This record gives sequence, C-alpha cells and structure tokens, in this order.
Amino acid sequence: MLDRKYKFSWDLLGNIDLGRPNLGPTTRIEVYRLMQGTFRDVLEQRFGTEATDEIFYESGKMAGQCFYQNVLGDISNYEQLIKALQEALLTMGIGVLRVEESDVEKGSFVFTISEDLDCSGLPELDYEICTYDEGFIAGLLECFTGKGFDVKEIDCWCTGDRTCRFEANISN
Amino acid sequence: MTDVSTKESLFEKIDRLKVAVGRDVVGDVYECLLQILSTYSTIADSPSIIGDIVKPIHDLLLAENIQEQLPELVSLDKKYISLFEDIKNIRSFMLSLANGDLTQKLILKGYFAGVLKTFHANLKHLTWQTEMVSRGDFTQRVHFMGVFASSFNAMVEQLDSTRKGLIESEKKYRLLAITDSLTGLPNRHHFFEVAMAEFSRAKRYTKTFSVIMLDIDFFKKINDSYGHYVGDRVLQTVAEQIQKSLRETDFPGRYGGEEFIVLLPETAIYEAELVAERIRCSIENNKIIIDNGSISVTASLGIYNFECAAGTSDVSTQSIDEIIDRADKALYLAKNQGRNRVALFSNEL
Ligand SMILES: [Zn+2]
Repeated sequence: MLDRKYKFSWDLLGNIDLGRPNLGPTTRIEVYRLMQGTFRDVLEQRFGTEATDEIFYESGKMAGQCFYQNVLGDISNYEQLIKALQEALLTMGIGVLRVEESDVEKGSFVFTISEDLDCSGLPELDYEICTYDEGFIAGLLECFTGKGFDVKEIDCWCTGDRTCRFEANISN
Repeated sequence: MTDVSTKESLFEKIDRLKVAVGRDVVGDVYECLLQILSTYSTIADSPSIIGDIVKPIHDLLLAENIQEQLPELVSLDKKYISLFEDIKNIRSFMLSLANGDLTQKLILKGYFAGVLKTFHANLKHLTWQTEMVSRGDFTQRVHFMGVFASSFNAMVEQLDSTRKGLIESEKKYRLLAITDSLTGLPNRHHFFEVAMAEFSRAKRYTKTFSVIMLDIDFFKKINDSYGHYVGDRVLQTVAEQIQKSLRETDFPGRYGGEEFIVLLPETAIYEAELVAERIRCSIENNKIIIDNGSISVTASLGIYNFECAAGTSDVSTQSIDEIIDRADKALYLAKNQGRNRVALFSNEL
C-alpha cells in the first residue's frame, strides 16, 4: 500500500524543541493513559477484545522496533542492550527495567518493569493489561537478535502483583 | 457466645408474628429464619466447630507440619478449600525464598502474593546484577532494598577501585620490569623481546631492518675523574640525546654499562646512517652541566643492516644475537678508526 495515510516513521514525532519551546518534551502520564484507555475502549467495541489486544501488541512491536533503531543506536552485545535500555527507560520516565533471567543462547528472558506507563497504580482487575508493552519488548528483542519473539506478561500491577513481569522466548 | 435470652425472644416474636399475620404470609421467611437461627446457634453454641474450621488455616500460619485433612463441615466448600490452598502455596513459596531457591513461581494473584513477588523480583534482579559484577561490569548499582542497597553499592565501588589500583600497579611493575631504572630506556631483556619479534616479522614478510650499537667514548675515564655520580648523569644525558634523535618507530635500549642499542624497523642502511649521525652529533654538541662547569662526551656507533631479500644467502643462519654481534663489530671499527664516528658492518670485518 503506497498511498496509506498514516504510515508511521520516526520523524513524525516532530521537532519538539521547536514546537514546544516552553512546555518541553514531557507531559502528564494521565494523558497517555487517557489516550490508550479510550483507544482500547473504542477498538474493543468495534473489533472485539482479541483483535484489540492484537492491535495493541502489533503497535507496541512497531514502537519497540522504532525505539531500538532511533534511541538505542549501536548495540553490540546483550549486556550493552540492557544497559542502554535501562538508561533510556529511566531517563525518559518510561519505567524501571530489571532483568530476572537471561539465557542469550536459548533466547529466553524474564524482565520486570515497575513504575511503568501503562498499568502501575491502576485499579486491580482480573487480567494483565500491558499488551502494548509485550509488543514493545518483542520489537526490541527482534531488532537486537534478528529473530522473532513471543512476549507474555505473566504478572501485572492490575492483577495485584505490584510489578509487571514479562517472559520472552524466541518464537518457534 | 450465644445470648440465650435474645434468641428466645426472637423465637417468641416470630411465633407472635405467625399468629398475628397467619402462617401463609410469613411461611417462607419463617422457615429461612429458623434455619439461620438454628445454624447460628449450633455453631455458636459449639466453639469447637469454629475452632475446627479455623485450625487448618491457623496451622498454615503457625505450625511446621500441616494437616491436609480438612474438617468435615468445610471439606467440600470451594471457597474454604481455595483459601487453604492459596495460603499453602504462599507458605511453600516463602519457604523456598527463605532457603534461597528463586526458581519457584507463585501463580497466585493479589496483594499478598504481589508483595512477595516484588521481593522475589528484587532478589532475582540482584542475583543477575551480582552476576554482571562478577563478569566485570562494575557500573551495577542497586536502587532498591533499602540498607542492603547501600552496602552492595559500597562493595561494588570498593571492588572497582581495588581492581583499578591493581591494574595501575600491574602496569607500574610491568614498566619497572622492562625499563632501565637509571636512564628510563627499555632494558636489555625487553629490547631483545622486541628485537626478536621484529626479526621474525622481517623474515616472514621479507623486510629489512637495522641495528645501531653505541658506546660512550672514554667513559671509564669520566667515571674515574668525576666520580660515579657524574658518570650516571652522562649515561642519562646520552640516553636523552638518543631518544631525541630517533624517529617514532625506532626502538632504543640500554645494552649494559655505557653501551646503548637501537632497533630501526624497515630501515635501509643509508637511513640508519642518517639516524646514527644525528645521534652522534646530538651527543657531541650537548653540554652536560656538572657541579663546577660542564663537560661534553662523544660516542662511537656501529650499524648492521639486515636485508631479507630473495637470494640473500645468509638469511636463515642469522640469529638476533648474530645481528647484534655484527653491529658490535661495526662499533669496534668506529672505535678503531678514532672514535666519535659511525661505522658500517662489512663482511670483511
Ligand atoms: Zn502490567
């Protein structure tokens, strides 16, 4: 599709220095959640829950890929990836990333993210909701390893777990 | 505790109500109330029943050994069973945490499990961080787990500074081991290491290199007339003049006594002669300040050029000792020709 209207590219984020000389690059987290929550609501009404989750996962994945290419830059090994990622997530106020397990050869990882954008502090629900983050992590790992990844959130603030825990494995 | 009088007055009121309104109207309500009241009075009248129900849960919290057999009254109650199982899971998860086994997983959700999972996540991340430190990443810092964090960070900082100190002193000792302490030039041993490497390289890639041997003229006389202190000053000054006169790739060394040596990689004989002449002039023209005035010294230099070209007959037989020996022979030629000069090795020597 050549004539798509909304094909994303990094430069569509715009020149923030130029555009927001007084307010700068930050905004309130409620606004982010407001947008995500309303998107999710409308998408679910139109396309159903499963499709909505898929859309969020895929969008997160695209974001993860773009983030890797444009923010993390040259990464040569796994340790460097984690360091750069931790630093970027922290300085940009996205969340606190921690590694619990990593087996680079097997391509199997467990990460936790606390104080995150999507769910920290939300009321308790019966289900994990960080689908976008799952995709985001998958996108990052795919860019780094060149292999497909399945990422699943196994614990979430929303299920009372106080931190979000993600399992990532190379796709079969 | 059962308040008997309250219960009786309740029954009386219901009876009066039944008479006043008629059984049909309050029939169902009456039956229900009777059931509730009788259950309430049975349980309340027998503290042992509540005790029986509470005991398995209580045991989960307090006892080392627990009873899997649930009291009959609740043995089929799904909520009770699930509460019992949840606490049992938490209990075994906590035990494995306490024993340092971080491989267990807590499937349960909710606040209590969440708090334990946070603790579990902290411990796992800490383990990972410690692993990273052991692999040489000394930038790892812990920003959680309160007072433990500051101790851990202090330990990593200490390890890092100790490691840096060790690297520094290793560098220092390595330098000491390869340097001549008086002149600061590479010592004879180190010079040989470098020269051997250059020799093999030249042979492998069919390259040329030259060696200059240098001896300070009448050094024994200087030592005898001015003393060892001035002798040492002369050696240091000559070393400085040699270094000043070299190109970046030339490699000097103190050979021993008043003898110095220079390796000139990829240098043909005429280039080596230029360098040697520069050294000789620099030494001759330099005044060495001593207590009451100044002295100047001269040096004699001999050059040997190793040429590893096809058809050169003696390549394979030459060792680095032989090469240095030939430079030495040239040096003695310079001495014999009247000192303060440069001489080249020739096969006639
Ligand atoms: Zn979450």
